[in-house]
Parts: sequence; C-alpha cells; structure tokens
Amino acid sequence: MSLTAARALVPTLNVVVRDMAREAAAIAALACWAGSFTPRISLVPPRQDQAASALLLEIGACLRLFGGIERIVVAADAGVAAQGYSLRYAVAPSAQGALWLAQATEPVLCGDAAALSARLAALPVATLDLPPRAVARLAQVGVRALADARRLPTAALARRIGSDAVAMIARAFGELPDPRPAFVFPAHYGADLELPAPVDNAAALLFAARRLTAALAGWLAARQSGVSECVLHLRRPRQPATALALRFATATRDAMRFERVLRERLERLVLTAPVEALRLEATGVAPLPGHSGDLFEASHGAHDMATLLERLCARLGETRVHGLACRAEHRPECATATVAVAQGDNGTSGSTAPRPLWLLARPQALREHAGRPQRNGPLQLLGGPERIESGWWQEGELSGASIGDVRRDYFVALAADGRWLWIYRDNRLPGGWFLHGFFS
Amino acid sequence: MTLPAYAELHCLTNFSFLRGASHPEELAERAAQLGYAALAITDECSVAGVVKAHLAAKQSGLKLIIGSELRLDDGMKLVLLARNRAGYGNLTALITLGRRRAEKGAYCLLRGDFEGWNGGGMPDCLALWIAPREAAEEDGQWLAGHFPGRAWIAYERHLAADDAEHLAHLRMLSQATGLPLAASGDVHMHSRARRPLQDVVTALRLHTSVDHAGHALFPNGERSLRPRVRLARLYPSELLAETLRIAALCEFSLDELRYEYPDEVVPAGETPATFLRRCVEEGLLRRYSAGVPEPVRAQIEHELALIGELGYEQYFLTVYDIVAFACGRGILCQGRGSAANSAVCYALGITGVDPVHGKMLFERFVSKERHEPPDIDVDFEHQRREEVIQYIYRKYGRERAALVATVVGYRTRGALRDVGRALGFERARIDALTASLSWWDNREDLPARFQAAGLDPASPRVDKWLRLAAEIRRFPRHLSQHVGGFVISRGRLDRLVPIENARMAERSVIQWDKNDIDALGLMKVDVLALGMLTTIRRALDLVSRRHGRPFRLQDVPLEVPAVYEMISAADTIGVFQIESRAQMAMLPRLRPRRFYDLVIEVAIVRPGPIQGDMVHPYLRRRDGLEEITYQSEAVRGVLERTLGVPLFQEQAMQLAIVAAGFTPDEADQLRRSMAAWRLKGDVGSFRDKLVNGMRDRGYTQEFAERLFRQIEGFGEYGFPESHAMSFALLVYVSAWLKCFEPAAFLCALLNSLPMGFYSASQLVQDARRHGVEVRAVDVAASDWESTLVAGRQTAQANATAVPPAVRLGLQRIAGLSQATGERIAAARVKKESSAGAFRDVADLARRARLTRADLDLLAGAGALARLAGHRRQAAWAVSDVPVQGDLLAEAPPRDDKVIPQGRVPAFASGVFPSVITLAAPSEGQNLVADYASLRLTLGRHPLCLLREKLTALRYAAAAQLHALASGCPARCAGIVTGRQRPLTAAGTLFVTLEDETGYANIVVHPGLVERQRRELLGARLLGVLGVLQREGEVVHLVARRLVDHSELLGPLATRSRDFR
Repeated sequence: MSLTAARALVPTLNVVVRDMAREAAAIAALACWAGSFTPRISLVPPRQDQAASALLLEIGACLRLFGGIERIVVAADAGVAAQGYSLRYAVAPSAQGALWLAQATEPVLCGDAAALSARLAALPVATLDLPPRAVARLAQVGVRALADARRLPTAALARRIGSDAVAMIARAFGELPDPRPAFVFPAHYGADLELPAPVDNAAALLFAARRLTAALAGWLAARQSGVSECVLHLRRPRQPATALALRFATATRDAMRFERVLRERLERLVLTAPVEALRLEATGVAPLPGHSGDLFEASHGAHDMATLLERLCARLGETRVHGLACRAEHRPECATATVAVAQGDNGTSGSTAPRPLWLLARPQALREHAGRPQRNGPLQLLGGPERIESGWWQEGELSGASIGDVRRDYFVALAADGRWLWIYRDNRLPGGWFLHGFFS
Repeated sequence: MTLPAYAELHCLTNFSFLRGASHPEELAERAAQLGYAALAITDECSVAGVVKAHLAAKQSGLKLIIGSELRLDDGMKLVLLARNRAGYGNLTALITLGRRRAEKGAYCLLRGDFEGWNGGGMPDCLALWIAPREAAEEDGQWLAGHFPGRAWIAYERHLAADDAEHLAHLRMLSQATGLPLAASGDVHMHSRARRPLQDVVTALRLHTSVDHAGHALFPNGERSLRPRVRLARLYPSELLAETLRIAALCEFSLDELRYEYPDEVVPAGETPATFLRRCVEEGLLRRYSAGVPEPVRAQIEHELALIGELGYEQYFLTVYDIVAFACGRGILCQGRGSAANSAVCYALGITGVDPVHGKMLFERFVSKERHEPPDIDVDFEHQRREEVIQYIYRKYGRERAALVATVVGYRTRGALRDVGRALGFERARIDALTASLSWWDNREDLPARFQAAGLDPASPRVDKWLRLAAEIRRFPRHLSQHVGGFVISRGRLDRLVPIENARMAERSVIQWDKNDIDALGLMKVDVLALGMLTTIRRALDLVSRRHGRPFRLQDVPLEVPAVYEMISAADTIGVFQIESRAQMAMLPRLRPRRFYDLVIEVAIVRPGPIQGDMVHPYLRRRDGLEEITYQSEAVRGVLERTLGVPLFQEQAMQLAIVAAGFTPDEADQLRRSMAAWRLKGDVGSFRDKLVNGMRDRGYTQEFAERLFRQIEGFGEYGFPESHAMSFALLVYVSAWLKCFEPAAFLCALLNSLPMGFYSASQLVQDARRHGVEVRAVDVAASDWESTLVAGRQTAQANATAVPPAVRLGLQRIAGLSQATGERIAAARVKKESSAGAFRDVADLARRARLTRADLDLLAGAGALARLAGHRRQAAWAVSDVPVQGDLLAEAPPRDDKVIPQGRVPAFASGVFPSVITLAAPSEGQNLVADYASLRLTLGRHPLCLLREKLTALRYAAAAQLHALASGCPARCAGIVTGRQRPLTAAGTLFVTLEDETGYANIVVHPGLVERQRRELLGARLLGVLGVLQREGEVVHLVARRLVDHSELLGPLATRSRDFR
C-alpha cells in the first residue's frame, strides 16, 4: 500500500521516516555491548529493502562460561531490554539459518543440524532476503517453502535463480561454510545517542544513558580493558554541550558501577534545558597509562577573543552572551538575529537602505503636535518615507518574538538636540509616531 | 486639488506566472474605477492575458494598451507597447522568437534581435526603459538609437528609502541620453489587499516559504493600482502628464485584428464561392443517388446564400479539406456540435446527420447577427488523429498553424499544496492533508478535512492557508495545449498571436485559449479524438474481411427492431454513450424504438435536464400518464417533438424567441450566459426579461417561471440537439454491431482500449454471456492485437454460418512491449508455411529474439501453454532457455559439471529425473495469475470460488437481487469496479459491484459515506447490507452498512474506476 493510499484511509496517520544512519549507529553500539558475551561478533547493517538489521554472535566457545544456551539468551534478552530495545533471536548451528529463523519466526533454539533443517524447511521463500529475482522466479514455478526448493535439482535451480541464491540456501542448511566479516571494535570508544524526545529529568537520562554504558562495558570486555575515566556529554538545543566527567578510582568495566557513579552525578546536575542527545567517551582506558591531562589546563593565546568570550560566557552565563547576525527580512525588528557566540557571520547581507546602528528594543511612542512628531521639540523629517509593509504571515501568532504584520512609513529625522533619529508613522490603527532607533 | 490624469504603462497580470497576483479582469476593472486614462497590460514576454483584459476594459470603457515586459539576456529590462496593428504584429513576432528559442515556459531575447528592422528597434512600438538603480548611460544611448523618439525612461516609485536619489540619477540619465522621463507603476496587483498572495507567489517562484524569502518579497504593497490622489503626491506632475502623451500614441485595439482564412484550399481559376458550390454538388450526388429531396435542396440554397453573404466559404473548404484527407486515408471522422445543423456540412461529408431527418437550425450554427465565425468540431479516430494533425502542419507550415492553448489553473488540491508550502508547513503535513482529500470532496468540506489531518482550522496560519488557497484557485499556472483546436491563418500566424513551444515535441501552441479565440472571432478547427470511431472502423473492417466484401458505415441497416430491443433491455455494455450506469438505468424506462428516441436518450441523462426537472414530465407524457398540452401554437412548433418538454439547448433558445420576444441574437446571449450563471449567479436581468416578455404575450406567470427554471437547469450542461444527433448515430451503429456482430465488436473494443466505462475483463465477460467464444492468449496463435478467428465447426452448420471467435492478443499481457508482440506474430507467420509453428520455447525465443523478461511475461500469462505446459512448468522451462541478452550478462553455467565441487552441493542425495514435473497450480492460483498478468480471466469468476464462503455470510449474488421486491432487506458482496459521485446527486455515492452473475448497483447516502469512508475507499471486495429499491426493471441496493472483505481476495489484483 502506498503512503498516499494509507493516508486516504487514515488521515491522521503518523508517519515516521526510517533513519538509516541512526539505525546503523544503534546496531554498532549494540555490537559493542555484545562484546560482553563474545568477542566474535558480526554485524548485518541496515538495508533499505530489509526490515531490520541484525547481530550475529558466535557463542559456541563461551557456552561453558555462561552456563548454557538458555542462560546466554536470558542475559541477552535482559541486556537488550535494559537499553530499551526488544529482541528477536534464534540460535542455530549456521549463521544464515539463525538469521532467517530470527527474521521469520518466534524465538527458537536449534541445537543441531537436524533441528535446523526441520525448522528451515517450513519457511516460506517469499519472506527470505534472497535476491528479489530469485524470489519471483521461485514463486513462478510454484515453490512456496524452502522444502519445495530443496526438492529441485541444484544445478538446474542454480541456472534459474542464480548460484548466489542457491549458495545462500546451502549455507543456511550448514552445507557450505559461512564466513562472516568480524565486527571490528573501535580503537577509541565514543558513541552518540540521539534521544527520541528531549529529556529533562535525571531518571530518564539515566535510563537512556544505559545504552551507552552497556555498549562501553561490552567494548571494554572485548578488549580486556577497563576504564578509569569517561565523559558524558549532554547536548541541549542552541547551547554548548555540558560535559560530565566520570572518574573511577580503579579501572573498571562493571556496568553497575558506571551506573552508580552516573546516577550520583546526574542527580546533582541542574538541567537548565531539556537534553536532546548524549555522547559517551572513554577518556582513560586502562591499562594505558598517562593519558593526556591538559583538558582543563589554561594555555596558549590567553588574550585572544575566543578566550575572552569563553570567560565572559563562564562569568555571565552562556545564555547572556551572544552575537548578532543579519537576517534577510524587511521588518527592522526581524532583520537581525542573535546567534551563539561561536557562530560567526552567516553571510546574509542586510538591507541596503539606511538603518540605524542602535535599534530600540521596543519602539517609543512620540508625541504629535500639529501633525508633526515631537521629541524635546519638533522633529525635522530629512528623508523618506520608506514604506515597509510585511509580515502578514505571522499575524495572530503572538509568541514572544513575533510582531505580526507591520505597515509603517519610516523617516530619518533631526531632533532639536542635533541627534539623528529613525522614526516611523504607524499606518495601522490607531496610528501615531514612534521612535525606532538612533543613527548617532 | 484636481486629480491628475494618469495612464498606467507597466502592469503585470497573473499570466506572468507566479509574478502577478491579480487576474487581468480585476486589473482592468480597478483601473477603470480609479479613473485611469488607460492601462497597458505588459506581461513578461507574453500576451496571454490581454484578451481577458480587453473584454473587461471594453465593458468598463477603459482604454487598453497591449505591450510586454522583456528582460534581455544581458539584463536590460524594457516594456514595449504596440502603437498600431503593425507594431502589435512586430511585438508578437518578437515574443514568438524569444519563446521558440527556449524551452517551454522560458524565453531568450538578445539586443541583436532589435537590429535589422526597417526603421530600427521595433518599428511602431514604444519602449519604456525600466532602469535599475545603477543604470549605465550607454544602455540609454543604445535605446535612444534604436527607438528614436519612441523611448522613455520609467520612474517607478515604490516608497523606498532612496527614491529621491533614484529620481536624480534618472534625470541625469535623461539629460545625457535625451530620453524623456515618464511615471509608471510596475503594477503586480490590482489592490494592496493582494499583498499576502503576492508574497505567496513570490515564495513559490523561488521555491521557498514566505518566512525565508527575505528581501525577494516586495517591501510593501505599492506595486498595486494606486488612487490618483496618491500618485499626485508621489510623482512630479510632468511625469504623470507624460504617461498621457504615450498612451495617446498607442492607438491599437485588439478589435482591429482581422482574421483571414487560408486561401490555398481554393484551386486556381475558381472563387471560394464557385468551388464550395462545386464540392457541395458533388457531395449531394454521393449522398442522394436518387436525386436530392426538395426540402434538402432548399436548405442547401439557404445555407449557401448565408455563407456567401458572410464570406465563410473558405472556412467550410478548410474543414472539408481536412475531412477529405482523413477519408482518403480511411480514417473515420464525424463532425459534432452545431455543424450537424447544416445540410452543407452533410453534403461535404463533415457530418452524418441527414437533413431529411431533423429540423435544421442553421442559424444556431451560422448567424448573421452574431459577428463570429462558425465552429466546426470534428472527431477523428483516436488512434489515427496524429496523422491528421501532421497533415495540417505539413500543409500550412508551422508559421501558419498552431494549437490553441489551454490555461492550466490552480485547482483545490494544487492550491492547498502550493500555499501550504509557501506558508512553511512541513511536507508531511501538506501531503497528509492533500492525500486525504478524495476525488469527491467539495470545497465546503475543507475545514473538516483540515481537522481530520490534525490541523486546527482556527489557528491563524491554518486560517491563512485556507483563505489564500481559495484566493489562488483558478489562477493560471501555465499554458498547455488544447486537445485539438487548431488555428490556421492566411499570413503569418505569429503576427497575430505569439507561438510557443509545447511540451510535446513537434507541437506548438499560441498564447491564447479557446475563449480568447472566440472573443476575437478567430477561426478554429477542432481536430478531436474519439475512441468509439476507432472501434467502429475496426469492427467494420473485421466484418468486411469476414464476409469478403466491403461493409461501410452507410451499409449498417437502419431502424432494426432487434437493436432497439437490446437497447431497451439495457444490454448496452460497450455501446457508445448509453453504457454508463445512469444511462442504463434510464433505458428500460425510455424504451427507445426509433432513432429520435436515441437522440433524446443521449440528451436526457445529463445534469441539465435532470436538474431542470424535465426527465419525469417527459417520461410521464411518453407513457400517456400525463396530458400533453401546449400553451400556444408557437410553443407547439418548438416543443412538439419532445412532447412539450424542453430537452435541448436549441429549444430553450427558440422558446425565448417565439414566446418571450427575444431576438435570435439575444437568445444566443441567453445560451452563453447559461454557462456563466453557475459561476457568477447573475441571472436577474435575463429572468425579468424572459418572464415579463412571456407575460406580455399572454402566457401565465407559472408557465414562464417553470420555463425559466428549466432553462436555468441547463446551465453549462445542456445538450444541443444537433450534437445529440451526431452522437445518436454512433450509438445506433455501435449497438447494431454489438447486436449482430458481437465478436467483431468485442475484438474492436479490446483493440481500442482504454475507452468508455468498462475494462477488458468486463467486456470479455459480457461478450461471453452473449455466447461469443473467447480464446486465450497463446504465442502459437495470438497476434499483437486481438483477432477474429473462425469459430468451431459443428456438424450441421456450413462454414459461413459459424459465428467467429475472438483470439485475445498479446497486447493483453501487462508489461509486454508492442515490438516484442509483433516480433512473435511475425516470426510465426514467416515459418508457418514450412516449419510450422514454434517447436518449443527455445525455438520461440530464438526466432522472435525474446529476452528473459519477455519469456517470463509470456509464461506468467499462460501464453506458452501449448509449448511448455501450465504456468509453473512454463516458468521453469523459460528460465533455462538461452536468450540473446545472456551473451552480455553473466552466463549461467550450462552444465551441472561446471559447478565447482563443494561450492554448491546437491541439496539432497538421490537421482533427479531429467524432466522435472511441477505440480499444476490450483484454480485459485491460476485466477490470481490471470488477473496479475492479463487483468481478466477466461476461467471461472473469482467470486465463484468464494461463493460458498459468501453464502455462509448470507450474501446474495447480484442476479438474485432482481428477484426481490422493493423494500426488502438484502445483502450483496462483490468486487468494487466503479465508484461515482455525480454532481447532481447531492453527495450520494454510487458503487458498482461485480460478481459471477453480473453487476449490483449500490447507492451510498452522504451520511454513510462519511461514516464508512475507509471501507468505501479501501475495500476491493465490499459487502453491503441494505434495502432493495426498485423502479420498474431498475434495481438498486441502498446501503445501510458496509463491510470490507478484501482479505478474501488475497493477492488478486482488482481495479476500480472512479468518476466524478
């Protein structure tokens, strides 16, 4: 069914577009986490034509360590659930077989080849990720289940659906070796997590961060290492990230310990704005000693502008220091925008018409005498009018920044005290004269 | 202060697409209101809006100037104004040059284009230079040199901060170049209230939203038509006065355009009059071999005299020439519309309605009072119309013939989509809103649709969205080509109107649409396409071939009772015009018995007569249930043939003449305004005139009122009798073919698809119910198209009495290309004499040079049955056949031994037979495959297989409904094959369900439509619980509840055709 058709049926349908990049990041993080079970992991990355990505864990070598298949499965299920995911799985002697079973059926444990064969034989070929042409061809000749395909002569079938498809089936049944590219654990650990919705309380943050700490634990396990320090970055909209350094007296890879320290830090943190993303970086990985220690050291170029701005931000608060940039807008109030300090000139050119350097935050009403505007005496109109009528689209949307539709005639005026003013006459009712800025 | 006089010389309309924000009419009316001395319409490289402005200006007494704004490729911006006819011709030729150089929608003009004209620049045109802020003196010098004494610098003041500096700069330029200054407005909107819409179109043009358009938006609303009192304050008075001097120099009016007919249709040595006379006499000999009947002769003389007086001979000869070409090529054609009122057209073979039959109303076609040329629309066979079009281009050349434009305007959905984008709504939101709009939704429902899409209609931005979308509706968006209207001229057409490139290569369009052409009295020939003509010609060809002698249109026997019996039983699937559900419901009530009944049938099932409440009185009178009375002898003369009930447009006109004292000219205006009423609701003046006129002549108020309501009901949907006659001819012929040559008729219909209301599946089912044998698609027997083949011999019958069968063509296989289908047929024929048919699939693939994909399609369609067995077996076989493409693609291993040991092991041990036998598909699986590939099946109907389940659910078959009495509760289920919501039905939706026994007609009332929208739109197999309603033999099921049973169909591919 096309999206259009679906919408015709359910007009209120809420559509979420699949984000392949985030999915790839999530499966990579899970692969790191899975390092706590086995270092031999392979990753089936997300593909547009596939419903889900997958992780392949080779657990033959660690069965004894964990005390059997069931225990591993239970631990994996709990670990995944703790990170807020749900698990579909199958355990089978062949990687391809396990993949297909996990995709197609309820959780299943196949201890040996015979059990696997029996399970696979019943799978409908239409649901498998065989090449689309092979699936179509099999449907044409009336093959529904894998068992039907197995009844056809291999070579003849290979000519029709391609030897790749035939080989895939053979691998699933364990009749061909199935080498898989091993997941390479990153040399440095640093993982991002975009939160599905902004979070403003510590408990929810802690829950979300579990995905990252779980992955870190897995990564450390696979490397046979521990961590003495890691940093959690909290990103909030339009603000610099906050870094929470988690230090451990001794190197560790105990997820519980991570969580305890993290909880303490988070509970003391005052969240000024909701957090929309997290990043966890392992900064001190043991047994590597003497990691860079100049993170908070003041150094070179103490007098440059950047340092000054950093200090201002630190003293006054980040929200109180900002830069100004031009915006292409006819309405003077909207022709400038405040931007973060770090952000430079955005390249937008301003109006070519004369604009005062100092614009009042709020226009001041001027007295009027004999039709002429007054400010400590009559004002002399020097240039104009410049008529500005714009902004109708914001009319009625009275949020803080919106001024709605304006209809004004602007003039440059000379005041009795010799100052040059920018004034306007409001053409909307009730009208009147206003001072909007100073040229000098 | 006295108001200064002013002429606006620079004004864009919304025909400068996504620039101007007002209709031409609005601008002209507003300029007149403000007391402007003149208004120039100067759209960008276009005159597409000028006729509309011209008509509005004429009405309000405003002087209109024709011009165009042009931006040369080096950035120089000029406004050219036409001084006189010659200047206008130069301007349209220049626009044509610029447009033909660029792709559709764009143009390109260079300074060099102004060289080489006699007198320099553009002779007889005035130029305004729209100088930019940083304008250079050299540009002014160039202009002064090319338009000596005819160029100005425009000062356009829009209250910018630097107006004074700009004016000073222009004065300096003026001094340096000698070009005088003049005021102008760069008008984009008729009123400053259009500012929001102006910003919206600007944002749309730049593919952004109003929030982000920034300085691209105009800073204020000054680009509107401003009151003169304001202009007096804004401009120096001498600059305003200059505009009048310029306007006075422009004397051209569109009324001066004189259309001249092409003259090569008259051979040397003849005058148009003598030649037309000769052609008509020759035609009469062909039409009446036994001598021309007296009334026809009189009619001919009457018409020729009028044609001669008005000088229309060349027009008739031009159309005759085109029709003669088509006949010479065996292309079936027939004139439609009011041309059927002309005996001359009949004699020339343009129309097929014998003047002996009806009462000719030639004045409806050609009128002395109306100063407009006649309009002959000719339908040609759909599939061969292109030959006719190319003939016209060949004969007259591209400088003299072009298609009329169609103005494609904003409709509700596009307006919502674009305005939503400009207001910065997210794409997903807009999609959600527009996707949930159904083809039947009315504009009044929009707020409800917004709500359903999760948008609050009361929020300010959503409110603006609604209001602006309503405002932009009907704004022109681009020019497209008319379906077939040609303008042909004696001289160069591009000096009459600019010609642009059309989207289709090899086509060109003028910048005016049909209404513009009509208003200016230009001649247009409509070369239209009609699918039914293709069907009829194909069927006649098939019949001729079978009988071994030519069987032509005129050989179809007339007034055969069996044909009328079939029609009266509503057995009319596939028959022209009377096959729709509404027509079928009327047939058993009207029971046509003669040709004129068909004319009435065609005309009566139309919104006009239905809304004017004429249908029931007519039927009651016909059935003798109501007395037929006439208010006077004059009325009897007009209405006698329709039993006193006006059914045709012509009758409404004639009544206005004989009963209310209208002149023929006024009556014609009445007809035209009928179309406009619906749009403007401006009926008062005609109503009074008509009702008073009739009362003065002694008719009762009540009769007058009723007549007026009936005329009003016609609206734009009234059917002219002449048109109904032309159509009724095709109705009769197609019905005769269905009745007596059903196999040929089916075959011709299948080869002419798509057309009409029915799918191939429905046509085949209907033919088989009538005993036509239909054979499956088969590579060993099928051609590309469906063919007529010899039927099965039975012992007793001789060869000619055996009814023929239809062999379905390879064409029916979805996805198969025509070239492939034709190669298969050709390869078979070539070898048939020697080697016989294809030996096997490999032989077929080699000889017809098939690709693997072709073979798959053939196997999927079951077309390989004779070569390779059932579908699965065929699919297995074709997938291993060597084909040409394999040489390039990865070659699959040919031999089992080639597969490396251990790479692909045998799945299981054991010896396989060399020939694999696959299980045959089940009936249901075959059905699904049939529908997927052919969209029809020759097997049992899908619902046969489901009947047991449906019976268990207590659903009746469609045929069983006919046995029930009116008012009975009933349940029926079927495949949804059509949904229709006619404008006349006040929100009621009609659904057609199909099952193995036929069709069930479902009526869904508006309340249920809203409640069960999901089932209505989504279900493929729909169950209906309702109450039976019966009117004579016509049975409807009025739905109370709908159930979606689509899951029972599984993957079966069904399709519904939805109509408004």
